[in-house]
Amino acid sequence: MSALVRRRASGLATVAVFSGLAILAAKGYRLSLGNPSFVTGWVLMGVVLFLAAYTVRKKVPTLPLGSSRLWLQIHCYTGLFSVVLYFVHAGLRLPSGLIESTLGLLFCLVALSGIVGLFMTRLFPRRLTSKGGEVVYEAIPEHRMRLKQAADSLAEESIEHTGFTTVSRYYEEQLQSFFAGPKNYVAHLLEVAAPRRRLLREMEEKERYLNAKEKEYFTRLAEQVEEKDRLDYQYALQRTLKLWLFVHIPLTYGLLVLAGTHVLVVYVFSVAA
Amino acid sequence: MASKKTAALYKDRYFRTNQKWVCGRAAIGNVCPRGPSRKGECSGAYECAPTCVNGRWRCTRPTEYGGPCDAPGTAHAEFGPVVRDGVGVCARPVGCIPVRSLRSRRGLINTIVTAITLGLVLTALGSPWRNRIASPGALTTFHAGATFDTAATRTGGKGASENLCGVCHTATLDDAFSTLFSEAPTAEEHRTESQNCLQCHDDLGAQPLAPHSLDAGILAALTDGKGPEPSEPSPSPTLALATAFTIGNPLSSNQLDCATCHHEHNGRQYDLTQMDNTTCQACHENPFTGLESGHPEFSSQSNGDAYSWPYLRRTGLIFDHQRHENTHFKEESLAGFSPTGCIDCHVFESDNALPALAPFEKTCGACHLKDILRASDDGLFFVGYPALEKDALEAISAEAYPRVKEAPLSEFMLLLLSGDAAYGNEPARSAEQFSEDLATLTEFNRDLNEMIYEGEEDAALRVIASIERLMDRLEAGSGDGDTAPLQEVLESITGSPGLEETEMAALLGPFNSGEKMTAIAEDLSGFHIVAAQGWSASMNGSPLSKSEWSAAVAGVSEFDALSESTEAAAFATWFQDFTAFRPWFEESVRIADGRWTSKSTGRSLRASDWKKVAANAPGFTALEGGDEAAAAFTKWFQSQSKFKKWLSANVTISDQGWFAAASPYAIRYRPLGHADPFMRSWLDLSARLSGSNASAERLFRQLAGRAITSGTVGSCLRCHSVDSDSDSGLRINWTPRPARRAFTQFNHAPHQRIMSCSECHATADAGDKGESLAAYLDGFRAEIGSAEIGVDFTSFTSNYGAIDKASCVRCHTPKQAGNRCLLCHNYHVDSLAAPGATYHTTNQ
Repeated sequence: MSALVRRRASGLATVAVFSGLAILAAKGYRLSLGNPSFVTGWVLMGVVLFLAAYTVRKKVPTLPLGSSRLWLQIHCYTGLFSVVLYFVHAGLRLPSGLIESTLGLLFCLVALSGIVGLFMTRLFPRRLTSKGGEVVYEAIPEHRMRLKQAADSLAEESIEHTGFTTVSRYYEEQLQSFFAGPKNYVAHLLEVAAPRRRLLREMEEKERYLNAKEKEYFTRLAEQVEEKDRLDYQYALQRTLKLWLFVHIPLTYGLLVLAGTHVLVVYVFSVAA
Repeated sequence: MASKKTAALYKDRYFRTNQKWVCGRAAIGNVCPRGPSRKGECSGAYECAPTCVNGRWRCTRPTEYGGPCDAPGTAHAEFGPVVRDGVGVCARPVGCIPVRSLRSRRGLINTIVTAITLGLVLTALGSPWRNRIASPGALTTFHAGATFDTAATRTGGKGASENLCGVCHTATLDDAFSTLFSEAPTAEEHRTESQNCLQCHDDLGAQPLAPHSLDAGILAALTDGKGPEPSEPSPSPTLALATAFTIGNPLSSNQLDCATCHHEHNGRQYDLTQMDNTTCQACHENPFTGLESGHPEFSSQSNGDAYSWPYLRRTGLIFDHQRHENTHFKEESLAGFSPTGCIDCHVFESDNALPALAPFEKTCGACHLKDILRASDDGLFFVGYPALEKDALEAISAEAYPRVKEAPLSEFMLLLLSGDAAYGNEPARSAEQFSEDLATLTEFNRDLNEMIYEGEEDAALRVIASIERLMDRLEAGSGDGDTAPLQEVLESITGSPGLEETEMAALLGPFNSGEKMTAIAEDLSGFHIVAAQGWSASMNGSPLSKSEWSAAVAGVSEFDALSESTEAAAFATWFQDFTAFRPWFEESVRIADGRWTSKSTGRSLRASDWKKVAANAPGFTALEGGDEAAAAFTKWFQSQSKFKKWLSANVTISDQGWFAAASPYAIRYRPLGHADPFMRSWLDLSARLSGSNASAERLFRQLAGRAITSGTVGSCLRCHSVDSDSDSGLRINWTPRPARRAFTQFNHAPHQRIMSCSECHATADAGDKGESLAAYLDGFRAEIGSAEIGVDFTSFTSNYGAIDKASCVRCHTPKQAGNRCLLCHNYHVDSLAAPGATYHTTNQ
């Protein structure tokens, strides 16, 4: 058993133990005529605040609060525990009040985006590494531009060296738009290579009509196409890894505001109860 | 591979990802190496800052941005800095509009989402609909809608439609901040919302918030040692969990808020009474898993107490099923009346847990109605003067006492006299004096004559004086709007306002109107006893005597002056002679319902008519032209209004004769059917007071006297049993089932549809219970063989066999008919625990 597997197993086991304890405690509390909602509510509120504190931790990396990697680990397992705690608190039913329904919906969206993000952060880096050609995300546009310039140059050179415009015309009609910007975003996310293969197959089919010199340029253009496709793959996965936080974090802030409102309402209506 | 080259090319580049602004040309891959300022202003107007090398200005563009644009051999070798005013300037201006970095954009979105959410929340909480928005869910149909709103408002709820939350909640969002930052509520204030519930749910007993709505002492007494040992060695894990968490158990304060079990805001159709089986047992000492496993047997013989469930107490009606079924119903003479099955008498209705009994007229009445309607019954002497013999009256010098022929002092009268605060000669010890005299009366069987003859004149005189006070009070009646005299008397006995209005009306009968007794008697005398609803008045109490008439005539001032006149002597003699005056008057005038009519014409007698009639009186003509006294008398006699007023004040004239106006009337009552309200209310009252009022006890004994075998008296309690009630004396069971079982419930209707009655209610085996069959009726007697009413409702032997748990377990499993605790058990028991209710507990 590798260290990673051991670590994940122990983390999941810890979550399972805490979840079991929370479920048993709440059930026992309720069976003994107590109302566990206040206790589970405050625990859930604390857990959510702790989860939200990860953002703060990232913004202030200089504080001696442990490594970001450790925080992320705890964030993931605590997030998983919060899902269990939510159902312990609210029960296995759809909330019916306006505030509670919205709060429940937000919690589910935050939790769902968190789980999706967790899977992406575990899966995408592996895919990026396995594909090779890792590029810093911010450098991708510049690299894309250079690829396009190189392809443009090849097309120009082909006219000069072959004496025909066949390659350059094909480039202008079929490949220029491909090099102009990111392509096949969804296909790359889903690990679908069909668009790339289709393009290369088309080029292969055209080769039979070319002479030797033209074929040389066509081969070099095909190499550029493959390079551009790899870059698009990098772009699609890295961009998604950054964009999911645009869902997860803003919804968390909305969740915190509504959770505070929920606490206020509950305490107003129960303070004299 | 090109990609590896690219990676190497950019690995040391800094892309300002943590900064707020990045180069606006980053998206097209032509980023400026300087980057924008912190304020988002472009600071990179040129791609490089040329340097002068050996007198020539050279491009300094970094390699990672494409390298110097004037480097030989490159595609851009023709470029390079230009010299302006002797200074090298980059020939490639690269200005841009900086854009936010991804991180900055995310921060901006965070701020926008937070602001929008907060704005929406504040708007919602500041709106008039804030309480509805804050509602965590819909209320059940019982607590929603106009009916609840109206009821809550009527019963003092805090709010109405405009503040529906305030009907139940003591605090709402309207006063959110003052509530949140107010002092912590006290323990009493914590109960407030439950008290709001109790504004409507006011039928949960004296301690509605206590466990089982019972006083802790009562609950402890009911459970102490009654339960069997737990039949299961170890409870289920869930049960163990429930009993382990005592931290949340609110029983420590002996008070449970309504919301502990009843959870609102869970939707319109939510069952507010649902309760987990395990939750019930969280408080119970010996928990078990279910009916089929661990639940104690229904009937038990533990700790010296024997339970024969469900026959734990006597039935309300004394009805020997065995005797009727085996003997009476088999008689040929009753062939047309005998029931063919249980449902001929027991009516099963879906919404009633217990089968109702068919009306008396359709069941028992077929044979027993005649017992009530016996024609020989003269009824009961309710109020009136008891008879005193002439010798007795003379012995105590009470010649003024009316001469009546009524029976001895009635028990009703004795009870009414017990409320006489002026009884006896010493007001301070009136009650004590009455008790002593009551003992004397009892000794002489209520016969005042005997008391007088036997030397108890003083006691007799005190009783007679009290009777006269009572009768005077009744004769005086009440003024408009005042309380009826007899009601005042009853209230002094029971303690005002101890009686309900309807009960008081039934007790008083015609006296409820507050009319004078004379008027009541006159009214009753005009009706048949059926039309008078069983009431009758005895008018033969005191016929007008000659002396009484003479005394009345002598009381006329005008006549007193006339008597000295010799001319008027004949008329005066005639007028004073009752035997002479009455025939003359009756020959001319007829009196009906207080109206005078002419016998000759049949029309109403007017003043002028009477003047003529009076002028024809024997000897009246001698008065005409007489002296002043004669003139005055003539004027009085011929004045119909004056004469009529005098006559009415002294004489009561009816079809039955002429009676002295002051003569007593005896009011009697005779029940005319089953469930007679007068008998029932007096039985209830006397039973209730029997423990504290000796007269009431005497009256109850008379009304309930089973020893009396004829007449109506006693008929009621031949079938209706009586229970002793520690709080309120005796209690008569007018319904078949005197009180519901407190802790258990059972709906017969659904069971009756799928099974026969005898599957559960099997006749006790005569071989085993032969003695109990014979003892059924003895359970309603004070002792075996006596006619004295037994009031111990626990002394009972049913002639049906006990029902065992196995018969229920056949169907009541979790997967079949269900075995929830609340299917058979009640939680709030105090409201059901009326006197005589059965507490059958296990060990809780």
